Amino acid sequence: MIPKPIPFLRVGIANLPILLSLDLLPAPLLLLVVLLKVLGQGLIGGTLFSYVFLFSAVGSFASGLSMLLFRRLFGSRISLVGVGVLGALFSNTAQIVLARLLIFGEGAWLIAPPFLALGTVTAALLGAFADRFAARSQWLVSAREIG
Amino acid sequence: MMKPDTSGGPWLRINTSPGVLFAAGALLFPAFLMQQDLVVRALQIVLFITFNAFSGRRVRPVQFLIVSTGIVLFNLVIPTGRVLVSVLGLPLTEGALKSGLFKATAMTGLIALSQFSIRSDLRLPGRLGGLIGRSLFYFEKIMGERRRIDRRDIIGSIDRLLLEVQGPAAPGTQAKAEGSTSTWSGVLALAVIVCVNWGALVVTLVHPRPFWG
Repeated sequence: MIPKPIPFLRVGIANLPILLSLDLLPAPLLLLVVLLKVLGQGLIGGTLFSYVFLFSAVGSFASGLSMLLFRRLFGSRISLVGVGVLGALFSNTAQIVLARLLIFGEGAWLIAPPFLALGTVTAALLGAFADRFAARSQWLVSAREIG
Repeated sequence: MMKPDTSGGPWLRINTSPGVLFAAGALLFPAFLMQQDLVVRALQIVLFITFNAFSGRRVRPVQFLIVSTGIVLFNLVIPTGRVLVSVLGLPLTEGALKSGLFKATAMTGLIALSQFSIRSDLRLPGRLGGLIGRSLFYFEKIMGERRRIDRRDIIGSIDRLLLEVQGPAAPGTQAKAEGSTSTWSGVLALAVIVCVNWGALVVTLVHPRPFWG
């Protein structure tokens, strides 16, 4: 649905369910959602045997764990925008380190500034959307009741 | 095993099951990654891209080319080894070029291999496999209704869609998808490809060939 500006670059829409699950699920179930997201993307995109899958897994778990940590530490004192931006910074840093090791070599540090900046902007936009969605959604209300 | 299906559709999709394709991909993965000969690697990539076409996947050579060029250029930034040529005063070194080409072929080759050997209807076994199946069931339902997302009321329309989708339970067992069993010709084709790739690996390990210089 969303076009990719550069091949393999993702806007991060798939992180939306993770952001919304932060206040909904206990830590083990949240990490299970992260695992399902990574495996689902690998199956749909057909990237399970490639470095793309490895990057997705490392980035998703770095982001998921950091968002979980900050949300549990600061609770409602940190918005989903803040949590999302921190998650993106951890995710993108982990992916740059992996790119340095596997693909780009020392040249990876050259892409770090634009990659981190772009990731921060998209994460802030996604976090703002998640905040508004969480405030208005009837589906989330029903999900909380089921949980 | 079934008789060959002569109906329309991509040949590999009709004649091989997702499980057999996955197994072939798992066997090809080490044979490709351990291959040190760049020329053989390039031929393997061409083979994997051809298989993508046979499996009905959209092949994007321009995307592969952009990614490969980017990886090679980034590796050339840090000079290592013998200087081959200078471009605008910048040294183009053998070590950096080899390293870039190896990494670029690994990246694109594994994507091409993965894309033909992993099908979205692959069902992994066990509890986790069941959970993935249910997640994909809901994903497909949402994607099937995505036209209903209204740009003027994005949050409201997504919310209504989620409320509707969460109603029906995901089926425990799903109907067999197209090509859910393999034909002899499909299995034979994959077996030949796996053997050729492992054979090429053994030959290049026994008789390593210098690329240049």
